[in-house]
Amino acid sequence: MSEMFDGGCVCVVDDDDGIRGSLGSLFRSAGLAVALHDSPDAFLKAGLPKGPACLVLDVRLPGINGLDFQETLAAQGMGIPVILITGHGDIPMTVRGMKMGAVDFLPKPFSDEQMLAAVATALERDRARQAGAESDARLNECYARLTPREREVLGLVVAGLMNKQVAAKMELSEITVKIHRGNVMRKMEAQSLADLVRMAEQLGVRDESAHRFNI
Amino acid sequence: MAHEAEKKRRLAAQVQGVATVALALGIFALDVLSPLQGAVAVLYTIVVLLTTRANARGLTLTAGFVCALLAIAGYFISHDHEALGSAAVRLSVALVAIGVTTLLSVRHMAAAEHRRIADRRYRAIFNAAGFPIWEGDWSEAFRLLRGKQAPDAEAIDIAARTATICDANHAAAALFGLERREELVGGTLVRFHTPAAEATLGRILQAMIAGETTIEEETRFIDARGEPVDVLLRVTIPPQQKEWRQVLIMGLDVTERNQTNVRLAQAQAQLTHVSRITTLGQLAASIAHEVNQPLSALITYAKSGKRWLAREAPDAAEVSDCLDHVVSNGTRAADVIARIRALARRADPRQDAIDLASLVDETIELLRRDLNTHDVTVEVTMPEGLPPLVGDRVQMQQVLMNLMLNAEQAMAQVAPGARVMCVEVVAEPDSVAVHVRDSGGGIAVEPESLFSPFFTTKSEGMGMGLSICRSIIESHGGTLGAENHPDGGAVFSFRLPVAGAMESAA
Repeated sequence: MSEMFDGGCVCVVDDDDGIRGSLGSLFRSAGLAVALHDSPDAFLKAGLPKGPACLVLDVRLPGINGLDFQETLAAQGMGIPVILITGHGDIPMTVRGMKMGAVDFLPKPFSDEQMLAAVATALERDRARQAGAESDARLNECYARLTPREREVLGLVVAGLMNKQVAAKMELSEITVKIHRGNVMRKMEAQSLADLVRMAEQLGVRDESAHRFNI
Repeated sequence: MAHEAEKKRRLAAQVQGVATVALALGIFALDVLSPLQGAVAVLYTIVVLLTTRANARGLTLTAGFVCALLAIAGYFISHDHEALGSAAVRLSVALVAIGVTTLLSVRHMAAAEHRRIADRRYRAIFNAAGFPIWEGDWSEAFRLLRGKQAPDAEAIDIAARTATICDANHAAAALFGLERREELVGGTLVRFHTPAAEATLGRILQAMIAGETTIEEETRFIDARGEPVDVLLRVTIPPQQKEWRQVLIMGLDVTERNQTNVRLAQAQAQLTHVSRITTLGQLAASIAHEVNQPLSALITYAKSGKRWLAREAPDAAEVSDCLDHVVSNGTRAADVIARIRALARRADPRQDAIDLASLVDETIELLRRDLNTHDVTVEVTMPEGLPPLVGDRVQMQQVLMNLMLNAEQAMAQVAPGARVMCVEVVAEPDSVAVHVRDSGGGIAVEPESLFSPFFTTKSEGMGMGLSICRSIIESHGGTLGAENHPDGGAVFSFRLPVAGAMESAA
């Protein structure tokens, strides 16, 4: 019955020792790393753990509302997935939490299966988020290696222009364009034109003004 | 019967009158006819004294006058021809004697008459009084207890059995459930005694031994019908009564008053209870949370314990840790429930020793969740080693709870960061003062009006909270008041006597 997790860390923020400790034990029994904090401040001070992580957050905290803290996190660009727990949640509270992207909203007492399922979802989401962030970073790195000319060529090529159209637009020889294009493919580590187009989409560098049939 | 007696009395008076006249004539004859040279006329004083028995002032005066005339007449008859000499001196002595006797007799009769009137008035008051009075002869008890310091049980018993009732009015008979006062006179009160009455008698006797002449005690008898009667006794020993021969006892039937007081106390206890339940009702959400929290933890610990067991390599240390926490969280939930149940309990006021410091802490703990929800910061100032108070712990907690919740509600309009409740406990020479101050807008009305029943500023309030708080504090011998603090906000303060001070005051 024990779900075995492939790594991951669960942060718990709850002012109640009992709740915090019991969640810690539950997550550890499922093979997860845990970081327990009694206040949002302590959590912020400790910083985000490495690798996929999620945050189990009590809605009712002394001095601050958990939902407000969730908002603060989002505003600071800390995209860690949040699972909200509460002693007595009402519908407006739930709606607000879910709208802000909470993975789940669990009333106390919650079942262990529910909690672990929510954590599994949250970790999966974080893993994807982190993977996405990683590929973004890689792409940006590659893009940074391009010269201004090469970037211009990239923008026009992914817009669907043929080499000679690019040459005409940039007032270059077709040969020069070909050389630039070869450099772009190499530097961006693109396997094909389709690959390059996808990357350009991700980077948002397609030259929107250029059109193959209407130069 | 009465007629016969009257006749007899009149006949005796007539015989006596005739005898007195005969005596006067005899003395006259002796004076005139006998050759005796003595002051025979002095014997007329006997005649005067005899007339006093008729108890008529006029008669005695007339007798004196007539006797004086007879003496003078006797002198002139026997000594008319003589010159003034020893006979005239004897006459003068006799006249002075008669005169003095007559005057003294008359004065004595007037005094006796006064006494009779006073006595009649006393009897009239005694019998007509609407409240029970009886006279007891406690001379036996006096002999028994003379020279003793304190009467023991046996002495009290004997004293009770020998203290006869000499007289009692109708109200006294009615007090003991009797039809006629004759049923009471001549007997004792032993048959009406209860253990309480015996204890009271002991105290009365002790006070009497100590020389007190007026003693007031409340006690309980069982009347002739078997009903309990609460009586406020006032025992008086009249000044001239040295040996407790005539002890005057007045009894006031306070049964009804006591029953009313009991009912009043019951009603008050019920009201106090209802108000406490109402206060708990306000805290229902917090209390539910307070119980839910450890229960959630407990369930999760139990589930995670199962998971540690179900692992490929079960971890005994982790399972044991989980079980420990199951126990501690279960206990925590039970503690919360016990606290609430103590508050919801409906019981007669008790006399416990109260540790105020722990009570204040516990009350803040109970309200912690609610105070947190309302963003109230609590500041507590409490000296070490507070003297213990005596009273009902639950009622005292009710007062603290009410004052703190009031403070919390008073700050609802204040910015969340500025809601501060200060609880200050101050030890004073004979008392302990507790001040609960809020940082709200203060009291807009006359502070004293807050304590009148049904005064409320809240839409769903009953307006009884503070009124009940005050009656609780007052029943503990303390005071509760409110005022505005010079630096803003309201302060509610109560002051309670410490255990020792209250006993010495009582």
